Amino acid sequence: MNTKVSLENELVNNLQELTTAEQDELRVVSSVYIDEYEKLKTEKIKSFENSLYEQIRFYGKNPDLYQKQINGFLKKYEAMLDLLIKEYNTRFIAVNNELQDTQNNQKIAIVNIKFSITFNDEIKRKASESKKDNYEIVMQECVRQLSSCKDEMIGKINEIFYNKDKQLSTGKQSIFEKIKNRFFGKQKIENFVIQPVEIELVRLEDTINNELTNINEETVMNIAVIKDARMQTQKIFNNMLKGQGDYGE
Amino acid sequence: MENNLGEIFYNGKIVDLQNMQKAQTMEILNDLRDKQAISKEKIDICLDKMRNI
Amino acid sequence: MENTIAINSRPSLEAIKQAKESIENAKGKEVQNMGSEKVEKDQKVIAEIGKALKEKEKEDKTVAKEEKGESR
Repeated sequence: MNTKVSLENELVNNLQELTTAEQDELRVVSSVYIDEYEKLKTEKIKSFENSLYEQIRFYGKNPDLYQKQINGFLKKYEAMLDLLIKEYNTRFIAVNNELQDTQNNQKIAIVNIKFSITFNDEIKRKASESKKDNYEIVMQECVRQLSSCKDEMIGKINEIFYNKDKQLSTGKQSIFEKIKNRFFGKQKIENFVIQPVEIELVRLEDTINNELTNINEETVMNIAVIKDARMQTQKIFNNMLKGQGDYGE
Repeated sequence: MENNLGEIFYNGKIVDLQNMQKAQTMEILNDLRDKQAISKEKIDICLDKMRNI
Repeated sequence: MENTIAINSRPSLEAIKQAKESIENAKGKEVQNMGSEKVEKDQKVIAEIGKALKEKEKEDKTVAKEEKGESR
């Protein structure tokens, strides 16, 4: 009797240890994920801002004169980054929810193994052990998807929001060009900076809206793959309980 | 354990994840995964012991 | 191995349906809150497990709970 109780306590302690490590892992993974996108977002906005300043200076004007417009552009740019990030965050959260549910279901399966040992229920024990093992496979898939989610988000941001200041060729200007800009700089900025940026932002908005739909569709498929694996796990468990060892044979 | 997302209680002290190098973070992550594997092994051993009572 | 699942890249319609529901649920959440939400959920599960171990006769309840959990 003494051993039984101490083994039970050992089991609970191990489950608690497992839980604590899972919680810490989640915090680390989330922290890294958030940190990466925030850094990238800041980099992209800064780069866009710099390119606007460079272009305005190129036409001989002080960017401070255009601060209101620049702020407007930056706000739109950031909003679009946020939309994209939010879509990937939804995927990240949804996958994590699946992982957590599976982690908890596995613990319950473990306790059921214990009970089936206590009550000498071989069929139930084998079914629960299979369940425990299958949940392990589900969790591996979840972890894989979390890693992919982060990589895909970073890739997509870099693809759509390329670093503008690296694209500019603001080379040296001749004296003649500098004089021209003195008189025509303002109009040139309107034609060659402001309007193109406005058009660019509209194009970007279209691109983002299309991407959001694609990303959401992929998220549905990703989560469905996990759900499918969980459903298979349950089906096999039920079949094993009925005594149909080999998946319905 | 901590409220601040960027901190965890690890190896007896508070660790700030946000100002950490990627290599260090990966080390912690691998360690946490090892811990989970070890806990699962201990659980298996425990269940085996229960079977043999 | 007959009783081992395989990751299926072509999930069933039912799986897709469940996925859409779960994603709706995830939309309202923040990544920052996941850690504390897990702690809450875990506390409940560990408490349930502790309770179930103390009440050995109620073993069937635990299996029912687990199977109920699967349909979420």
